[in-house]
Amino acid sequence: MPDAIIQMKDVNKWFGEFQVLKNINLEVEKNKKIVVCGPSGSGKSTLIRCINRLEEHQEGQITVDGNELNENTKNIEQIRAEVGMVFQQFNLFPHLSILDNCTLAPIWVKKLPKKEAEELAMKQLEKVQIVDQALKFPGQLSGGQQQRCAIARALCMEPKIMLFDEPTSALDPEMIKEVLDAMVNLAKAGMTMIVVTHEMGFAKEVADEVIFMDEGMIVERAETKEFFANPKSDRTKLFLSQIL
Amino acid sequence: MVFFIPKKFKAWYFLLVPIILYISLKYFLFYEETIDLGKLDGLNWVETGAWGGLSLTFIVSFFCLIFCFPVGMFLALGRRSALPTIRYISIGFIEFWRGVPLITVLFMSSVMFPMFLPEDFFMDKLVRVIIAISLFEAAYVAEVIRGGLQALPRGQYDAAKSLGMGYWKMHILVILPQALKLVIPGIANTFLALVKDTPLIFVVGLLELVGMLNLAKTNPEWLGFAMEGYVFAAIIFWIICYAMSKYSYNLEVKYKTER
Ligand SMILES: Nc1ncnc2c1ncn2[C@@H]1O[C@H](COP(=O)(O)OP(=O)(O)OP(=O)(O)O)[C@@H](O)[C@H]1O
Ligand SMILES: [Mg+2]
Repeated sequence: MPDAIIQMKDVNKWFGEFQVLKNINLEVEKNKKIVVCGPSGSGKSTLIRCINRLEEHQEGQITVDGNELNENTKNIEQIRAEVGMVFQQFNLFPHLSILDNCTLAPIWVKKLPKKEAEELAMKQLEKVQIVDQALKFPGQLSGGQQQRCAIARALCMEPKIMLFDEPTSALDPEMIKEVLDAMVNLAKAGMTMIVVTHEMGFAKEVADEVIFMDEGMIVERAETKEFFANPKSDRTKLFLSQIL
Repeated sequence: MVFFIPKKFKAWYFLLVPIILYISLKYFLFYEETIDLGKLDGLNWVETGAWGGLSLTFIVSFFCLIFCFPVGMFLALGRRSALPTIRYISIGFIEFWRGVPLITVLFMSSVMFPMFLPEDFFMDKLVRVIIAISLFEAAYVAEVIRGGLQALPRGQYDAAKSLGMGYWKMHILVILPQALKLVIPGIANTFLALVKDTPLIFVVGLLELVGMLNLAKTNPEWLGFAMEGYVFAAIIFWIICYAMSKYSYNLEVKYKTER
């Protein structure tokens, strides 16, 4: 597939003796939204962390926007700057204000002038509706607000791809919706997204395709409607019956 | 020169004035003259070996504090480096300096060290002592800072990397500001210990406050006043240390942010 922005070919990864990823093949086209689900420990986080090389794979090829990721990759920082990531634990920088969290990387990595970076940050904070919190510190915000700030922070780098690792699973139920809303808006704006989540409502609303993982393998990959209507493998059926 | 002046001018920059004056006077303007004449506008040239008393306590403490901190920081980073050479060098350095008593280090610096140098190479005794203490304390500072680095969750590294920061940007912008804030009490501890270790420089013949006192109490005129002298020295040390401890506490408060 020539226009695939992410390509994984026969990727295998081990933590010591333990094989986390087994023979992963995955292509993601530009502007597609993919939801990844599966039981705990199935390797979902590891899979998406390999895409920006927060984890290193031992076998196979991973290509992101035309750049192959391996130990010889010189411009890994440049590639990471184009791949935004949102974490389960938010991982905001607690010593910086919300605004500074958002401007830090644009100023130091992308070398934007401070003023421009701040304007950009305010625009992104506006989109996730926390402009009024811009001068507070992460510790003073609710979980939902922190996660929306984390989304804004990643967007300030104007990435081509966004990765989400269970962005709502550390949140109280009332806060989940506000974060999902921000993600839905982002999806509608045409961002390429890979989202690890158990929010099946979100998957049904925005995902083009759903991937089901178990024990380090991609068990099933299907169009969203197809995935929920006619899951093929028994393992998927069992999982869906438990989660829905 | 204007562009050397930092935007936020802080009071402590004034401390740099005497240092810059001293260095420029000694080395750039009057080097030949001071050596030749031994005099500079009526002031006698005093060899560092003859410096003494409270001013020496301050000089040694001040320079050691300034030098040991960055060295310790690099050692702490080195010890966590992914590159084996750097890591093993850092570990070796830290474990060596932590494993030897300060008094032997000082002794070595004045007796052994010059033996390894070329004949015509001269390094001031005070400078050697300051380097020795700085390296010694740097090993302790390194371990304190490493404790702070270890206390940061992995997510902070992940977040910084995912935003495209390389090793140095990640450490300077994200990791060190948080880690150093965490270790202010530990660093203050080490620094207080350093100040109170300065009397040990008597082994190389440098007499700071306590050294001077030991000398003075042998003076027949002051016989029997040793007690008063020691109490006085203790009070002075207490004031210095209390001021430092207060200052570190203020720093903690100043940089405190909600977690
Ligand atoms: N750094 C590591 N070292 C060793 N093993 C690891 C490491 N990280 C993850 N693992 C193991 O790899 C497996 C997959 O982990 P991963 O975090 O990718 O799962 P996950 O699908 O994201 O699970 P969850 O839904 O709980 O987040 C788990 O069994 C985990 O114990
Ligand atoms: Mg996970």
